[in-house]
Amino acid sequence: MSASHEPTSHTFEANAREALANARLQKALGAASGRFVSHRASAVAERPDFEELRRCGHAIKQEALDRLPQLLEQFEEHVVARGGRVHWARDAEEANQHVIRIAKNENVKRIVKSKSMATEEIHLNHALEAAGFEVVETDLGEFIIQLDKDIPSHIIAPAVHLTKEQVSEIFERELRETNAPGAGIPGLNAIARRTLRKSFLSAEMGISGANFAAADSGSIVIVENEGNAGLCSTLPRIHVAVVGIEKLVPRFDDLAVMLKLLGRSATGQRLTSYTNFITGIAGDGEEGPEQFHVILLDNGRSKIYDDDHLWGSLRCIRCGACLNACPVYKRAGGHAYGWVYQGPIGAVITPQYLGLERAPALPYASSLCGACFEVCPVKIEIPHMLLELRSQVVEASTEASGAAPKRPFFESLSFGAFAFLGRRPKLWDFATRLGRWLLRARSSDGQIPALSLPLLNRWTARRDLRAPARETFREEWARRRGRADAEADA
Amino acid sequence: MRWDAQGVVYSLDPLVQELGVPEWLKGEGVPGQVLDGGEGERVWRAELAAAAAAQREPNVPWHMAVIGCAGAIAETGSIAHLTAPGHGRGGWLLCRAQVVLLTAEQIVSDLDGLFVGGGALDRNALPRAVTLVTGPSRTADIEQTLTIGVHGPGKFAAVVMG
Repeated sequence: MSASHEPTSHTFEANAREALANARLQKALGAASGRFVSHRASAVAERPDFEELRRCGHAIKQEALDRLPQLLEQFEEHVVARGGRVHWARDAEEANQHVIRIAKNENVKRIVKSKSMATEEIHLNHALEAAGFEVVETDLGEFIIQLDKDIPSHIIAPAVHLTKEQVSEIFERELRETNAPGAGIPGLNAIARRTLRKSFLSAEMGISGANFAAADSGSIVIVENEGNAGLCSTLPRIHVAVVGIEKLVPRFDDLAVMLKLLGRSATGQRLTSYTNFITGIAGDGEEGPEQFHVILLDNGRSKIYDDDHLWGSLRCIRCGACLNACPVYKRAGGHAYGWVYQGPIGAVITPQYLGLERAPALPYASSLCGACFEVCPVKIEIPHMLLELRSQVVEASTEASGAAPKRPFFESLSFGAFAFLGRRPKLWDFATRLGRWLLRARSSDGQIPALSLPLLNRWTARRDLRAPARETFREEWARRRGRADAEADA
Repeated sequence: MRWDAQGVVYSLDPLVQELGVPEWLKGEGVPGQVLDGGEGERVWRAELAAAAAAQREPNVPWHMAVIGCAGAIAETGSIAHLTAPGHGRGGWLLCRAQVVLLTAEQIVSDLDGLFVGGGALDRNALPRAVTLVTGPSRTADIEQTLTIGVHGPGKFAAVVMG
C-alpha cells in the first residue's frame, strides 16, 4: 500500500488480479472467511426468530431514515441536555477541523483511538498527525495496520489480510520487539497490550466511532471485544465520537433488536465482550470524561439519501457479513476494492462516496449470486443496487460518447444470432434439433463432461453440463396440444 | 478455580460491602484498593501509569477486580455495569481478572429484560456509561484466532448468590 492511501477503486480488476496471485494473501483470506461464515451460521441458528429480527432491523433503520432530519435534532438536544456538545460536519475536512480545534483548545498532546470506520473514511489520523498530535490506534487490528502504514482490508477485521508471521515482522520492525518472531498469537497480543497500556494511561483525549446513536436519549453505543473502546471512553478527560448521520435509531429501546442482529451477523457472538452505552458527561463522583463531543458526519451521506434507488444502503450497520459471504471478496480481499469499505456493500457505497467515475468497475465486482442480501441483517438489496449502478455506468458512457455502448464482439454475435433464429421458427427448430443431437452425442449418463470449445471455452473447459432433454420445449408443447386437441375432438 | 491474585480492587457496590469483601481482604492480608475516585485511587492510577511507561509490573494491586452489577442476562451470560460514584469503570477494565457479584433475582432471560423501567437500560435513568460485559476481553484480529485478554480483564467470573 502506498503511504498516501489515495483510493484505488478505479483499478479494481488489476487489484483483484494482483490479489489472486498473492499466495500469502490467499492463505490469510482462506483461513479467515471460513471461520466468519461458520460462526455466524451457528449464532443465527440459535434464534428461530432471526428472520423476524431482520425484518424489525430493516423497519427500524428505514424509519430512522424516513425521519432523519428530525431525529438528528432530537439527538442533539439530548446530548446537550446531558452536558455534551454536537458538531455538524458536512465533509471530511470539517470533521477533522472540529477534532483538531477541540484538541488545540484543550491542550491535548496524546490521543487514543478505538476502531471507527467513519474516522478511516475521513483520514482523521493523518489530519491529526499533520497538526502535530500523537494518535494511537488501540484496537489490535488497527494498531497493526497503523504500525504498517497500511489501510484496513475488512470492516470488522482490519488486519485479516496479514498472517501471524507478517504481524511478527511488523512488531519486530516498528516496535523493536526482538522476541516477536516466534511469540505466537498470544505473545503478539501481550506485546500490544503492554505497549498500548502506556498510551491509555497518558492520553488526554479518546476518540471513538459509534455503532448506533439513539435519538430519544442522546446515547451512542460502541460494540467491541477488547475493552479498548471502554478505556478510550473512560480514562482520557475528553471523549470525541465521530458518528455518521445514518447511525441514528429513533428510540433507545430499538437497540435491543439492533444489538441482537449485530453481534451474530458480525462475529457470530450473541453479544460482544463489551457493549458500551455512552450518554453525556460524567456526573459528580462518577468515573468518565469531563467533556463529550459528538461529530455528526455527513460526508456524502445526504447525497445518497437523495438517490431513490440507492438510499437504502444507508441502513448498513457495518457488520461485514456480506463481505464474508461474497465469493468475490473471499478471493480478491478487501484492498482490491481500493477504499475503506469493501465487499458487496463497499461496491455499492464506494461509487456513491467517491463518484462513479472513480469506481466504475466496482458494480461489476459481483456475480449477483445474492448471498450478500441473504445474510444482511437489515435486508439491503445489494444485488439490485449493483444492477442499478451498472446501468448508471452504461448511461454515463453512452452520454460521454454520444453513441450506444459498445458491446464485446462475442456478446453482439451471440445476441445477433439469437435474434436472427428467434424470428425464423423453422430455422429455430432445425438449429435446436441439430444442437441437441450434437450435445447428446457427447454426453454419457445424462452429463456432458467438461470440454474445450472455441469461444465458449472459458465456461465449458471447467464445467460438466447436464445433457439436453430428449424433446425441445416446442416439440413437447406440440405433442401435448395435439393430444389435448384429439381428446377435445373425442 | 485459582487465580492467585496478589491484590484486589473493589467497587463500593452494596453487595460487595454486604459480603464484607474489604474486611475479608484485610483479614487475609491481601492488598486492596477501593475504586471510589478518591486520593487512594489517584495514587493507584499514577503507579499503573508509571509502571506502564517503564514497562514493568505495577507495585499496586491490579490482578483482580471485584464489582457488583445492575442486572444480568441469562441468554448471553452478560452483566450490566453502571457508572456511579464508587463503582468505577476504568479501574476494573485495567485489571487482569474480573469477578462480578450478583443475586439470582438480578438475572433476566434476554437483552429485552434490561430495557424495562427500573432495569439497567432504562432510558430515563441512564448514567454516563452502561457496560454490558460478556466474558473476558478477547480479540481474533490475527488470523481470526481467538485470544483472551487484550486490553480488558483476561479472566471473568460471575458469582451468583442464591
